Amino acid sequence: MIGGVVTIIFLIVRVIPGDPAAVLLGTHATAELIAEQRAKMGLDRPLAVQYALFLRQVAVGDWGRSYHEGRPAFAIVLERLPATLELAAAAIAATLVLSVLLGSLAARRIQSTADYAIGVLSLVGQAIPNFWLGLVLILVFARTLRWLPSFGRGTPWHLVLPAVTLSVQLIGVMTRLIRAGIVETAGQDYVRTARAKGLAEPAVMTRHVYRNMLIPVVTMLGLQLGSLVAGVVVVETVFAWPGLGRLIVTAINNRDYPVVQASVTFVAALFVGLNLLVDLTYAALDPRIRYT
Amino acid sequence: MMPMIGRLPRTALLLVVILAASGLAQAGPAAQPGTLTVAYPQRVVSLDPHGTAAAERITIILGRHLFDTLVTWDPAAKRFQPALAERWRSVNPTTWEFELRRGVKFHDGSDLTAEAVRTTIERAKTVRGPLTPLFASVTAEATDPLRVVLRTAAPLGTLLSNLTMLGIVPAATPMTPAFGDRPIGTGPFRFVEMVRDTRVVLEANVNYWRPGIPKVRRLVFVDIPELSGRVTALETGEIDMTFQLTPEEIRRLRGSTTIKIEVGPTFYTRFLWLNASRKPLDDVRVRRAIARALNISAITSSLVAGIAKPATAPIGSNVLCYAEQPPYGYSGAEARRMLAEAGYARGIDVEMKWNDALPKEREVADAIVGQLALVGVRVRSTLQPRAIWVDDLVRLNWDMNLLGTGAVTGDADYSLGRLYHSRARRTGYVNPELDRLLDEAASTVNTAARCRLYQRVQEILWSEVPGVFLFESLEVYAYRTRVQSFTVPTSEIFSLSEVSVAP
Repeated sequence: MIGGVVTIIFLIVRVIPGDPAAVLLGTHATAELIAEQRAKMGLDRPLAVQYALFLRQVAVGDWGRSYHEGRPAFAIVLERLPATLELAAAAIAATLVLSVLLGSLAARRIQSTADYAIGVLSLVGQAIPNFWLGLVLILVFARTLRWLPSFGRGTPWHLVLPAVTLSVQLIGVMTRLIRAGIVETAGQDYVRTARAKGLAEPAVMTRHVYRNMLIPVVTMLGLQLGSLVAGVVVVETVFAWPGLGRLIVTAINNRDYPVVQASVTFVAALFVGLNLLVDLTYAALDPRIRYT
Repeated sequence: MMPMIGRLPRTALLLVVILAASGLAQAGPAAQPGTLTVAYPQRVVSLDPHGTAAAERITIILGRHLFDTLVTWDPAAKRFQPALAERWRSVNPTTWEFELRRGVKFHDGSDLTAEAVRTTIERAKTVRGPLTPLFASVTAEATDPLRVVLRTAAPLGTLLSNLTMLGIVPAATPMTPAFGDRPIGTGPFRFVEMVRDTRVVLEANVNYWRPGIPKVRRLVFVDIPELSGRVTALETGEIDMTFQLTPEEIRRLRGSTTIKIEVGPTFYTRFLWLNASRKPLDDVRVRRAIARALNISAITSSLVAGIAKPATAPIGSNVLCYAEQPPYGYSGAEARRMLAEAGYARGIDVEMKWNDALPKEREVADAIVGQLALVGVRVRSTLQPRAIWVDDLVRLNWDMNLLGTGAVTGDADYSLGRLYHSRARRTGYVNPELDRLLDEAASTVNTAARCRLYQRVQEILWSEVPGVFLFESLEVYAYRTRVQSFTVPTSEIFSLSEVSVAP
């Protein structure tokens, strides 16, 4: 599968119009210099030759050097990874805590004002574009209240606004899912049985309700990782967060083929890996599921 | 009931309150004493003064702090001033001798020598960047440790202007772009670190050859891509200075007591190129009609108010050899008449390609489309991503192109010779007389004589309209009042060497 991704990315970056040499040298360069640069990058060769050379390099773990930075593309990707992982982890943690909290609250008082309010909030959360939300949060918490820094990465405080911005849409999706899951599971016979045998409420919730509704939740979380990647791209730009998302956008804009290839393949591998983890989690959550 | 869940919201509420309270306690980041933090709108690709990014504005600005040049241009006195070269003379039209300043050291401790200058010239030619054509015909010879002779294949009138762009590097500098990751110069600041898409940190060079400079200990350039983010960071005090604001932000910040706004000139001109190698723009009457159909002052007084003024020549008014031209004379009726005279009474259809890198370019593009529609020029406006736009631009694959350029050396030749000579193949306009004048000007060493030739070049460009010259860009600097002694530069390239910060 990753092999397919590598080939598709190789082709896509070359099919979209735009000359990496022209972008690199900009409008101040002469046509001769641009042509010379293109040859230096090996882009004057036939596509098949470029592909063969690319595969040979990739086979030995060499993703080429960034046209703009001159350094190995894969090293650049790895350098940016911690910032994005930090942001994504904080966003997922915030999502899990808040959506379980809000979903449980709504499920507990079903069709109450709180339930409706949470329902509306989740819908709004899902609908808010994150670039807009990011700017509003900056205006309120950084410019007006001066509570939090407006840009960059460093202290845990720097993480708050980007992580919140990134998680709001996810929280909206997950809250609704968790609420529905709890409502459905809480009505099952085995939950009634658990209560009837005198089990304390926290034990009923954790052992019987939460555990049984977690499978769709984990599945959804796995699927949402894709939109998380898209969100990261926007949020990293709004908050000047030096992560993988900005790297990919800049590399695409600059037609920095080696960096695009390395970073997109890496993200694809990460996505596959995390979804594998999701599948393995099923077995842990539901003893009936076994992978042999 | 479920008491566990019941407790959860209260705990969460408490958490939020604690978070908010401790947030209040830190109340925004305090400015560091002796540190000047500047946010830039452009990504730093490389700090190599001779590499592929050498003509990028942010690379030039950072280079101003890291490197020195042999000479500098003094726009007030209208003459070149000594920098690393204390004296120079033109031995004959193709030979120049420079005597270097004694006792200057590079940041790595090595001495400034004639050999370093020789390496620098070789490097500008070898590394292959936008500076390469400027020094292609120049060879350097170190005649003694502090004396260097530059020879040009033919007389080169722009040599001194070009040298104002050439940051001098140590003699042992490799001919590879990796130097841009750890640059070494003789400038007022030395390189500390560069974290791409995050920051570039410089610290004061305490052994700088100009006494009393620099005045701040540390200079931090932080990367904030969004304009609103830069302005917010300026308002909160997270940064001390930023530039390239829009008219809306200027208006909003004007009322602030903690932020000062200053506007300065640039070497930058914005224009609408008309491809004279394509029909119907090959007809000068059509090109002139387009020039007269545009109400440029209406755009500069509204959409780009405060960040541009109407152009009065193909180059900026503070560029060496600028010659003022009469206004195009906006007249829709006249434009229609000229189109009819050229045989296009029913109007024409053209495509305009552009890229939104310049401030308010989208609004300007819309205004141009609207204004031209009034005289029957139906424009298909195509916004292109930069990678495609640059590619199409250099391939001449366009009817009209909306763009701008800076005369980075401050010399008319940089824009006029580079863009409008037919061998540059930039605009589709070919005029042997223009080529002859440009060739003659480039090889004329006497500045007054050169300027007379460039004056004629500007007249031809203005009347033949290979492009409609729209605006001269202005630069807007916004800084907190703790920043002191900032002087607005004569071009978009500013220096913070003489700036100090209040504690």
